[in-house]
Amino acid sequence: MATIAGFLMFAVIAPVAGCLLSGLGGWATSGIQGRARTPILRPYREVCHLIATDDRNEGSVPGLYFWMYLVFAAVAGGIIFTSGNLLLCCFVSFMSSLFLIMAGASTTTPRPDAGATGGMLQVVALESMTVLIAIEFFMLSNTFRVSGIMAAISPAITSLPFTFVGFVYFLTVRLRRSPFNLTELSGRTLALVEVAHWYEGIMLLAWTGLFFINGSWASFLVAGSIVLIVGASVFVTHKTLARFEERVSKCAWLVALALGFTNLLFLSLGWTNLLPPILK
Amino acid sequence: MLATPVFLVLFPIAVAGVLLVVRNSRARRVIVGVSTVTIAAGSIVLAVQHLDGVNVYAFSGRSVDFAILSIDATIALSIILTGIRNKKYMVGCLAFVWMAIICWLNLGPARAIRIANPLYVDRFSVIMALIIGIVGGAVCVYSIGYMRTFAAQSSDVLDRSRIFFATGFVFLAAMFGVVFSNDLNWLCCSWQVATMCTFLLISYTQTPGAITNAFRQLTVSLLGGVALVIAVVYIGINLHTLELSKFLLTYLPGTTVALPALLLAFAGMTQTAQMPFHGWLLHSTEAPTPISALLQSSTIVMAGAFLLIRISPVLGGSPSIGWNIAGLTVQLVGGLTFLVCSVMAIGQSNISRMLTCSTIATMGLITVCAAIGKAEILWSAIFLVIFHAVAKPLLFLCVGAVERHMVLCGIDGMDVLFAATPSLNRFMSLGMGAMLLAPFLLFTKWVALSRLAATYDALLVLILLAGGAAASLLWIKLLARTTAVSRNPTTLDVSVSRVELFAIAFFSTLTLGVVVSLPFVSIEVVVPYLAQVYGIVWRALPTDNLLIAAAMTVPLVVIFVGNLQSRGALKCDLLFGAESVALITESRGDDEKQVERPDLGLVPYLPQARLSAIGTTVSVIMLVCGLDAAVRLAVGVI
Repeated sequence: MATIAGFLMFAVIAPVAGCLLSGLGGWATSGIQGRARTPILRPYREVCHLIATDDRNEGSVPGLYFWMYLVFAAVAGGIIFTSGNLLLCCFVSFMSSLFLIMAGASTTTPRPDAGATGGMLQVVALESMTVLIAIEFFMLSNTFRVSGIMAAISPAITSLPFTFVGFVYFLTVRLRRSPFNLTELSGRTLALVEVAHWYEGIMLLAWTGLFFINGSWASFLVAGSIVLIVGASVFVTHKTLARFEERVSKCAWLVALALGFTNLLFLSLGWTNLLPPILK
Repeated sequence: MLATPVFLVLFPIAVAGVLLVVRNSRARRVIVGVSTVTIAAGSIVLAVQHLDGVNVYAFSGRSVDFAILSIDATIALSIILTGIRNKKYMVGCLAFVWMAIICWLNLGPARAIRIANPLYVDRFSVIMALIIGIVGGAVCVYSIGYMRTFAAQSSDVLDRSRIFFATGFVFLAAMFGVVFSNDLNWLCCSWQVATMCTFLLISYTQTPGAITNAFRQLTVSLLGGVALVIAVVYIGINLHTLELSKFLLTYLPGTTVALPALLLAFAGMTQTAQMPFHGWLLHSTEAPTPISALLQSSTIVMAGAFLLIRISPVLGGSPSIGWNIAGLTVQLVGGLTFLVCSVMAIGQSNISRMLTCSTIATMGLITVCAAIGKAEILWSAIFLVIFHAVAKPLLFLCVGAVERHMVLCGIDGMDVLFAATPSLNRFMSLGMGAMLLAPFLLFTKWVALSRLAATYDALLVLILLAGGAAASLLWIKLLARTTAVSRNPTTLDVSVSRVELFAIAFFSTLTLGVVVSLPFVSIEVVVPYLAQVYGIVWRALPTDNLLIAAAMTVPLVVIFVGNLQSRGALKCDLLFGAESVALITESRGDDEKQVERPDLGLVPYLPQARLSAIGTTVSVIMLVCGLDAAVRLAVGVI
C-alpha cells in the first residue's frame, strides 16, 4: 500500500520538480546572458499550450509508443523513490528509452536515422552506466535495494568518486536534450515527451543523490543541494556552452564508462576509501 | 517410463528410414507432418512423466553396446572415405584417431567397468527434450513449405529434399540420444551422429562452397569429438566409471577433474562455435534458412550448450580455491566470444549472418554462465537456452520467408521489405523483442551480474556489461528498423505459404508462452533441478525477478500490437507544412546514400576481419594455456 502511495506521489511530484528545475535553469541562463529574465513557470506554460493545441499524431502507433515511454519513465523513477531495487529501475528505464527509440523510428521524420543513431548509443550507454553504478553500490552495501544503500555507514561517494564524476559528466550531456531530435513533433505528443523527460531527469538526479546519502539527516541535506546544483547546471549551461557540448557529447559515454570501470577495479582490489570519510 | 525416452530415440530413426524409401513428395509431406506431431507429443509425455525428479534407467545387454560400436565404426569409416574422396585428409585422420580411441576403450578398459544406468532423465533433460521435440519438429514442418519453393526456384541445385528430411529426423534422434545418454560411450556415439547430420545438412546444396563449409564444420566437430573421447578415456581409467552422472556427482570440483572437465567443455565449445571455432557456424548460413534455424535452435549448437550446462558442477570453483582451471579457461573464452561476437554482429549487413553472430554471442554468454558453476548463474544459462530456442527460429523463419521472395537480405533493405509484409514484420519484432528484453536484460544484467558483483570479479563484469551493451544495441537497431516506416513504399507481391505462416505463428505463440510461463518454469522445473544438482535447497528467486518477468510481457505485447497497425494509416505531423514535405522528398533521394552508410556510424570502427582475428588469437592462447595447466595438474596428481 505504501509502495503504491509512493508511486503515486512520485507521479505527481516529479513533473512539478522537473518543471521547476527546468524553469530555474532557464531563469538563470537568461540572467547570465544578460537577457530579460524568463519566468520560472515558463516550461509549465509551454506544456499547457502544447496540450491545448490540436494534435494530428493522436491515435497512431508512435502515440502508443510515446505513452509507453512516459509510463515506464514514471515507473522507473517511482521504483527509486519507493526504495525499490536499483537493477529493476535500470531495467524499466531502459524499456522506457526503448519505446522512445521505437516511437522516433516509427514517425515519418525526414531523417529518422540521424537522430536514432546517436539516441541508441546514448540509451545503451546510460543503461550500462546505471547498471555499473548499481553493481558498485552492491559491492559496498551488499544489496541492490535503495533502502539498504541509504543505510550505509559512510556515503558511497567516499568509495566511488570516479564513478560519480563520470556519471555527472554523462548526465549533463544526456539530460540537456531528449535522446531524439524529434523536431517535427507537435501538440500533445511533444508535451508528452517533455513531461516524460522531466520524470527521467528527476530519476537520474535521484541516482546522483544516492551517492551522498547515508543514514544521517545531514547527508540528505548535502545530497539535496548536490542534486540541485547538478540539476540546475544541466539547464544553465544549455546555451552558453553549446559549442563545447557539441564537441564532448560524442565521447561522453566512453569517458563515463571508463571512469566507472576504473572505480570498479579499485573496488575489486579492495580499495574502498578513496576519499576521506565525510558526513559521519 | 523407460519406453518414452527409448521411443523418442528410435521413432525418428524409423521415420528417417521410411522417408528415404518414399519418393512421392505428397506422401513425404504427410509423413513428416504426422511424425513431427508424434515426436512433439512424445516429448510432452516425457515431460509429464519426469517432472517430479530424477530417473535413471538400468539397461542391460551387450547387444546395445555392440550396436553403438558398429554405428561408431560406420560413421568413422564414412567420414574417412568422404575425407579421402574430397582430399580432406585432416578430417580422415581425426576420424581415424577418434575411432581408434573408441575401439581401444571398448575392447580394453571399458570391459571392466560396469555401467548401472546408461539412461538418465532429469528436469533439465526434459527441458531439452521439449526443445528438441517441439522446436526441432516445428522447424521440420516449416521446411516442408520452404523446401518445395526452394527446389522450384533453384533449378540448378539438385532436389535432395528426401535426404534433407531423413537427415533431419536422424538428427532429432541423435539429439535425444545426447540428452538422455548417461553412458559416456552412448553420448560419444550420439554426438558423432549429430556431427555427421550437421555435415550432411550444411553440404545440402552440394555446391563447392557448401562442401567447403561442411568440411570446416566437420573438422571442428571432430576436434571436439576427439576431446570428448579422450575425456571419456580419462574418466574411465582414472575415475573407474563411464557414467556422466557419477562423474558429476561423485567428484567435488577440484584439480583431479580439471582435465576431463576442460576436455568435455572443449567439445561443448566446438559445437556452440566458441571463439576459435566460430567460423563454421558463420559460414553455415550459406545453407538454406531452415537448416540454420535447425542447427542453431534445437540441434547441434544446443547439444554443445546442453553439455556445458550439464558439466557445470565440475567447472565451478571448489569452495577452498574459488575457481578451477577448467572453469576459468572456459569462462574467459566464453566471455571473449560473447563480447567480440556481439560487437561483430552490429557490423554485419547480411541478416542471416547477423543472427548467427548473435547466436554465437548468446552461446558465449551461456558458456560463461555454465563455467562459473553457481546455482543462480546456471539458472540464467538455462533460461537463455530456452529463450534462444524459441526466439531464434522465429527470426530465422521470418527472414527466410522474405529473403526467398526478394533478393534482399541486407539489413538496410529491411524497412522496405517489412513495409511489404506487415504480418511478417510483426512476428519479427516479437522475436527481436524477446531476444532483447528476455536474455540481455533480465538474465545477464540481473542474475549473472548480481552474482558476479558478490564475487568482485571486475574483468567478467566488464566483459558482460560491454557485451550486453553491444547486444542490446544490435536488437534496438533492428527493432527501430522494423518499426521504421518505409520511405519508399513499394508494393511488392509477397506471398508466404500457409505452412510457413503457420510455423511462424506457432513460434510466436511459443515465444509469448515462454515469457508468460517463466515464473512457473522457474519455480517448478529449473529451481528444483538446480537444488538437486548443487545439493542445496536454493531459495526461489526473489519476487522482484518474477515481477520483471511479468513486466516483460507488457512491452512485448505492445510491440506486437503496435506493429499490427497498417503502415498506410500513419500520419506525419509536420511543423512547416510544405517545407517539410520538400525535405521528405529530398531525403528520399538520399536513400541510396544511407544504404551505403549502414549502421550507427560505428562500422568503420568494427572491422570484422580484424575483430575475428583478434578474438581467435586470444582465445587460442587462452585455450592452450588452460589445457597446458590442466594437463600439468593431471600429471602431477597421477
